[in-house]
Amino acid sequence: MVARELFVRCRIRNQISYSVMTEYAWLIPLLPALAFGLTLLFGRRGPGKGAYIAIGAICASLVMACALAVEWFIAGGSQANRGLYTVSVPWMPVGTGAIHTGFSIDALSVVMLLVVTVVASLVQIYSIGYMHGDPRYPRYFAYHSLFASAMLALVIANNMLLMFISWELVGLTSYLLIGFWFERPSAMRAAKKAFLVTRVGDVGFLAGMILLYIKTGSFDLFGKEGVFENLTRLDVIGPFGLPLVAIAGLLLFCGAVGKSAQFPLHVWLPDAMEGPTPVSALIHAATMVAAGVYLVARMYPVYLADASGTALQAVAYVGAFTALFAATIGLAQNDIKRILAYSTISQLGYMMASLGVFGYVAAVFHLMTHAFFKANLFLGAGSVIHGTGTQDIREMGGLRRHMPWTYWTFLISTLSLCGVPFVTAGGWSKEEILAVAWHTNRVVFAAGVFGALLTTCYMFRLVYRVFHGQPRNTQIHAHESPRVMLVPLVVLGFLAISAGYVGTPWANVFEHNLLPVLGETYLWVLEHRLEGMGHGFNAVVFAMALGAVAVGIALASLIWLKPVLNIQKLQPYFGWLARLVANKYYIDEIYQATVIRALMAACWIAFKFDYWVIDYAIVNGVGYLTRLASQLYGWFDRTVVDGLVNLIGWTTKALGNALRYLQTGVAQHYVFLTVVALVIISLAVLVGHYREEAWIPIAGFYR
Amino acid sequence: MAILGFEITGYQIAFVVLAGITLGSAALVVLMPNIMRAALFLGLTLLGVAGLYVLMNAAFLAAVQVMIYVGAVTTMIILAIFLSHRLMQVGFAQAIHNPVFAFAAAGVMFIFLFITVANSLWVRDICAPGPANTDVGVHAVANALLQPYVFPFELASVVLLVALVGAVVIAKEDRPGEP
Amino acid sequence: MNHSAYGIPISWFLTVGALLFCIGLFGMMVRRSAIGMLISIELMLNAANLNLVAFGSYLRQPTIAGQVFAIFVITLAAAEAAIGLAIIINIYRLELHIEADKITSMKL
Repeated sequence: MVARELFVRCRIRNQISYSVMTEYAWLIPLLPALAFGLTLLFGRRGPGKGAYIAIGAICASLVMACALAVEWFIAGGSQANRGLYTVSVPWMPVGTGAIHTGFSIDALSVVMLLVVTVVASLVQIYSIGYMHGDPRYPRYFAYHSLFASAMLALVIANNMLLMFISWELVGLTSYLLIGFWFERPSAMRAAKKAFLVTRVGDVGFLAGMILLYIKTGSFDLFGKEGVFENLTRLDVIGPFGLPLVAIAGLLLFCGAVGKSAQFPLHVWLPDAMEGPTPVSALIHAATMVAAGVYLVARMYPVYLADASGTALQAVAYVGAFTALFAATIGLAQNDIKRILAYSTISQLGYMMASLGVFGYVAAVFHLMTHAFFKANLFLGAGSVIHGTGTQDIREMGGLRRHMPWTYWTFLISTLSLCGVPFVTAGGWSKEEILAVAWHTNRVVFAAGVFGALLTTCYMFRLVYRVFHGQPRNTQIHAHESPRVMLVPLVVLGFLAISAGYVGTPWANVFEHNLLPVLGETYLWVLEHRLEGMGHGFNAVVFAMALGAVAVGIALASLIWLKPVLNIQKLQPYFGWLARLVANKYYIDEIYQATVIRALMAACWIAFKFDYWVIDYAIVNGVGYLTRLASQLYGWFDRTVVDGLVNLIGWTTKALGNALRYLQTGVAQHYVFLTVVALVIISLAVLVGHYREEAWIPIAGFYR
Repeated sequence: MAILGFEITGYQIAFVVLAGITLGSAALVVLMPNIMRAALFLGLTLLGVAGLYVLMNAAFLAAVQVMIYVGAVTTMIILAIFLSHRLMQVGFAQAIHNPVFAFAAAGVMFIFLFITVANSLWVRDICAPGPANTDVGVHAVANALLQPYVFPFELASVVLLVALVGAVVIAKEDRPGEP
Repeated sequence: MNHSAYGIPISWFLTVGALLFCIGLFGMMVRRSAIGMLISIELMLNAANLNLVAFGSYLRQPTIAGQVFAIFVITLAAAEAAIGLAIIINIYRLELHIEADKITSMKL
């Protein structure tokens, strides 16, 4: 049994000596933080208007992350499991103890570090070309550095408090970067919306964190006193008849729902596309939105400790529903970036669903591959927008000839996103998810397969509309992007294929390293849940996935490439469905009508209450009484108090007149007066002292 | 060794010699009418204090004292004297004014301090009869400076830097046409 | 080291410190020139250092803090001397003397 071997390694891991790289991993988030400060202060005068500082810092972090990955995954063979390295320092004293902070390195952190640094560095390099000539160019790179720093701190934090702070910081940078072009009202609104909607989820995260802290007495995740070791204390029935640990899991999941744009808090992500496209690639596709998945993965012991499985079921169904739901919306959009945004929501749904059906490794694996191919897709879209000047796919067409590099990398990543088996990274990870779902939850499996079909449809619709056919708008003269933008595309395109080979069913390096992250106890639970699932190639699942992709490509080709099937004919029967989907199921409108209107009504009532009761009745009444009192007091003040004050003033003046003869302006005299005063004070002290105590002079000299 | 019935240790002799050098040259520092000589005697005083540090097992501090005080501060003072006094002129000697009051004030101050020091009770309560052993060495100083006192230590370096820059700015001559 | 063989109680050091301090005080009061006053301040600082170090090593639980404080004092004394002398040189350049009681340009 695999699990048995792993336990043994878990025990051995304490004797492993860690390299300097691991001990200094805290430098990885620190470097971009420094770059943030430097770029903000000296950006405009710095090298490359600040871009090179930011890129230098993130590249240094990338090198360190690569070194970590080599140490943790490769050095000593693929089976070497390095376990967990964690360091804490006291942060602030509370009550009887202290809150600690620190960082921890394990396989999960290393994967996240690698993903974030790779994508962030490539996106920043790409931004040199994309943001060229922007008036706030240095600030853009400063924000990017801040984001990288916060995101990297989030993935190596070993306590919930630091996690939460970083979590909010990435939210802040997301807000700043969505609203980067704040002259546009739509960008401003989108930034605000993203900030507020994710905040709704964060309240859940905070509540879950507090619940865990109250019950376990610690914010630390690891260690004997840490949260994970003491989860049994939450094994009591709480509200709704659920165990407290399930409540904690659900609350934490709220945070993940907000950050990872899961239904019903998904509404902010499509609007977030108002930001610059590289930002969408980095923050709203590859890394920050995946932070929700990371959160659930990091807190996975909480979910495994829940024997009722309620929390995980919620995760699974919300994820699966979101995957399907967003995919259908993606079919009917016309904005290239919005299509990709819905695709991101859908893929994040896959990851959540995977976590929900005990596919811990598969979810993290998909997170990694998705980061690469989705970043590539967004950067490709950015290249298209850069070359054509529009985001509407109805105006594009035939770009294949003008932008060959963009086309080929985009196509590769599209195939990866669709999950073409055996060839692409997305194929390996998606099939792993489906394999787990096949074993544990057939509903999620069916949703996954159908979602894959839809994904293929809308992605090939996008590819055909943008790159194939004839140009639809003759005003647009498309051109290929500069080389600095193409290099990241090519690198990411390469990764979109090759990254999958670390997790093939035959030699799953990824799984062997990642599973022990859970620790001995929870690994048992997970193995128990997955009992009977073969470790290896599941031909049925692969066949179905391949079928979904094939059918999807065929459908898309027949409808949009060679118009054999005319969907216009369906208009009379399914017109309402098309409108429903094109309007994103009217979710925004529903929110507008319910939540926002209710809020507005509450605000109106509060305003009226404020105006009439508080302002008019209370404040004005108090004001009137106060005025009366003040008039009385004023009389007293003028006669008695002022008289006293005048007396004091007069005395001071007279004294000053007398004392000014002491102010000679000669420093030596001042010194002399100081000494005299000192002597007088010492005299007083000594006399008072020796009246109480016996005084034995000189005796101290010989004793 | 016993002199006139008193048991006298080598340390005591060393102390008396060093204290004599320190206090004697300190007295000369304040009494010398010539400021140049006063500054030179200041160097001697500081050396004497360094010797006293050695007697208290604070060898590292003694080295610091010699390097910074004797080496740097005294030199700087002498340089300043060179720059601000016309050595060849009459009036180079420094007048000293009304020493009587000053002596009285300082003397009374000393009497009070001496009474406090000589009173045995608190001295006996808190102090050992001799200085701590040699484990209070460079290692201990280094550990103290870089562990509990690292923040003041860094702050001191900032203060030094600021003082340096400030000194340069203040002492620089304002020539027209120069920033 | 054996304490009795050492034979110097702390009060000796404290007395030397007190004397040095009072000498410095005296110098502060009698010197006319600003440099002379600065020198006297150095004497007083040394007296304070002597006390710090003495207590640091004579306490029943000796502490390194005395020496650390002395090092800080020395550092700040150096900074103070640098600034003070810079000011003195500047004043000299303006007034061609450095007698503290004649520098009255800031006086009303």
